[in-house]
Amino acid sequence: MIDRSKSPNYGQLESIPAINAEKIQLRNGIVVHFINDSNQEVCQTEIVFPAGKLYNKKNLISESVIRMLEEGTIKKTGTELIDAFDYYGAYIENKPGMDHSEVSMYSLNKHADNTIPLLREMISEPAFRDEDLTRYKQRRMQMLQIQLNKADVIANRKFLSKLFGKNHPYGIEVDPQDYLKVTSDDLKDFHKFYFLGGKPKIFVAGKVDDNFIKRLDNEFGSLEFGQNDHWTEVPEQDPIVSEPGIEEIKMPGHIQSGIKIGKLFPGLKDNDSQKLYVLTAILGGYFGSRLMMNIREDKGYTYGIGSFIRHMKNGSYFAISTQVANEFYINTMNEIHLELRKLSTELVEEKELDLVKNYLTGHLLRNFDGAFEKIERHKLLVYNDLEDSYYSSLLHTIQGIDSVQLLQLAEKYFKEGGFTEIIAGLA
Amino acid sequence: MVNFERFTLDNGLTVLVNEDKNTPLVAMNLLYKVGARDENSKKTGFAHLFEHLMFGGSANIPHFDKPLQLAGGENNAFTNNDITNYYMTIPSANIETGFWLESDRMLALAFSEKSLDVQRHVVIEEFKQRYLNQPYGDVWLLLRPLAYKEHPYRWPTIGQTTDHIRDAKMEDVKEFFRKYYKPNNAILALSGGITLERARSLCEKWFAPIPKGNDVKRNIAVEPIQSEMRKETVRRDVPADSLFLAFHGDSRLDDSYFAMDLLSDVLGNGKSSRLHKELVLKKKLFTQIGSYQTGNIDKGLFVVSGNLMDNVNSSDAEDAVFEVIQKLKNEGPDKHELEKVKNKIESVHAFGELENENKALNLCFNEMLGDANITNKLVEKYKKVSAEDIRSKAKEILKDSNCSSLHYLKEE
Repeated sequence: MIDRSKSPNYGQLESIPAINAEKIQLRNGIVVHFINDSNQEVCQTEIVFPAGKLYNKKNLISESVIRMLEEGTIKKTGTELIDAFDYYGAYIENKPGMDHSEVSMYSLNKHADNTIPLLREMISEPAFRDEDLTRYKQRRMQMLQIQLNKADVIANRKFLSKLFGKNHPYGIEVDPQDYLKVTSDDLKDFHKFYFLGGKPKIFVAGKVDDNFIKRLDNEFGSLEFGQNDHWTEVPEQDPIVSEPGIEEIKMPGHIQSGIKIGKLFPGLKDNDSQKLYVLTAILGGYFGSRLMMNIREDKGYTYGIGSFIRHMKNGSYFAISTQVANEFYINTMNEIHLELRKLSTELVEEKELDLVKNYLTGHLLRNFDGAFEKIERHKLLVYNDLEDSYYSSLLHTIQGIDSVQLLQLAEKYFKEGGFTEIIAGLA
Repeated sequence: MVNFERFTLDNGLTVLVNEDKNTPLVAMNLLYKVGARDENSKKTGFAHLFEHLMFGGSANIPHFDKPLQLAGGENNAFTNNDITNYYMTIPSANIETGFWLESDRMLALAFSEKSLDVQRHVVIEEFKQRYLNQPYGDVWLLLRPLAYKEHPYRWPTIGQTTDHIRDAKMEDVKEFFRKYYKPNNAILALSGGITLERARSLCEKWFAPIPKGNDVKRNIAVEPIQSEMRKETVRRDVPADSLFLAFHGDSRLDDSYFAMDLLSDVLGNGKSSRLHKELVLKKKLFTQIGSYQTGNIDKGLFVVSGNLMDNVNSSDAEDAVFEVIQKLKNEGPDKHELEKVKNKIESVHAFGELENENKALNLCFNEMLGDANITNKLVEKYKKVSAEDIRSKAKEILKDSNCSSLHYLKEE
């Protein structure tokens, strides 16, 4: 008989696989970063522009430009354009963001001769027709109104607004009516300046053969981009002003409350950054975390609770996020603060620390599994101008950190409070 | 193409192995052939609640997650109307921990009262978060009982009401475990950095000693053929009117399932589909509209759903949908449309095979349908569908008498 009460032996990983991204320049100087996996028949092509919300001078322009790209070019209507992508089995995903606007194409490599020209046309020759813009605005207004009926969305919007300031692009709470002010000239100007006024970067993962690169060069290498460098030159913004304290937002009829608690955190290049990643993981970064074990698995107040750190070009923040039964929101807030206090007054026990180290190491390994994962990790390095050694240094931090360091860190960042706390719902 | 080997243990557990030398990880997927369709109508939501209890400790191991996290693994599970599926990814060197954990909870659960009590609360919060505290969250709580009168697909996986979850008893938990959580009612797949030999020896060591259970006998009510259109209108605090049309369709096991799936693509998959072109762009009745089918083991639903433009009457919008359907019934898809939806299937399939987690799930799921190798033949099956197959499928299912219509409107 086997002894089922004893865990089989397990080992810890010593290293993570190298990313080994290749880099080439198209004839006009655009840099293509790619990870080739010749076993695949598909690939993901991303064209990234430094043109996110951060670059807005008027609400909703950045996200509207990128979303409107699929509404047609000067040669094709939106339907004709999407039909052409669809015909070759390709998917387009246009992703607005805080800092970047990303156009992603997921496609079969064998159709590259047809899909890459379409991708280029969509990006360089958008039409921004008024009729399409009107329809787009109606749809997006409706979608935003639906979002504004959700307690967690309301909590998150207010949270970001309090964290970064209500006029900072990261903090602005857009109103459905703001869509009415968006004009096709706004979109054309933003596109001309931020999409074509400087060079985008290209990231490809999957099957990337010689023909694929040649096609990219034919299409994107032949475009004339301006000489601006929006990757480093960012328009001037309102200064970031954080407002700590609690705000309650009543939403009648809601049977759960959305909670967001957090504060600004140091950026990726700060000495504390990697260690804080471990600290927040212990608090709420995985299923076995303290917040999950206490508030879900012991008390049953919520379906889920977690904490995370987000890094953006001009600011980073830490947040705890959950949705709880209205009758338990006060208990939940108390328990969250109890967990923050415990971290900043008591040493993490060896057993728990080993567990989180092993979990995070395995998690890191999963984040390097295959070309599609690796290109995401590589993008983070490029976006934030980090050294290739960043991830091996992260692994080293995870495996080397001790409970005294964690306590000092928690004292520094959690003990004094200064949190912004939003509760929406409460009905 | 997923290459795999298959073997069966004496206790009836089927095992599928796909070795991939390029990854230092293994995906382990364990599918139990039990879902919400196996529930008693007075105790709905039970299969899913049970899934939560599978993480509450087993006969010899007090915590499921902790030892897995120690071994660098990550896991989760999902339940739907047909199956309950547990999956994990773990470094190859530590894969034995996965076998130890999964086999122990197949052998026996801890049946802890505390875990049952907490998970009842957690699942009720999940119910609220997903179905009650979201705009349009209760659509499926309304649409299912409208479309199904007898078949257990008439309730969603989360359950018909939170009362059923609140009332769940430990004796129900034990009975459910005894009946369904047996090696002969499960399929295990491993995909990634593991050899067939190692998989076999670990299966023999950890799973083979688990006793075989009785064969599961199902007595699932057959849904009577619908004879007239059903309509329901509700008003809710939402910003926009919505329309849902549900038609009874095929089972995944039907030969004509593939034609129905392509029909849903031609009609309403994405911005180059007929519904979007006609009703969003041309007639401007909807802000968005699409169609899809549920892909169930028993006869599933073909669903059209859309959000209406302000000031559009939902009955007019419904008539307009039926006009688009009628046109498709008259003419069938053209050559370009047919090729387009087939090419898209090929691409979706290729992307679906990128990750070992997906490969392991696909192997299990198709094995349950009859043969894991179906996963390698799917694209061919879709390619064989003709325009006429799609047209006749539309004529067969997309008609008034087979339709349940839900008008989900904002408050006046």
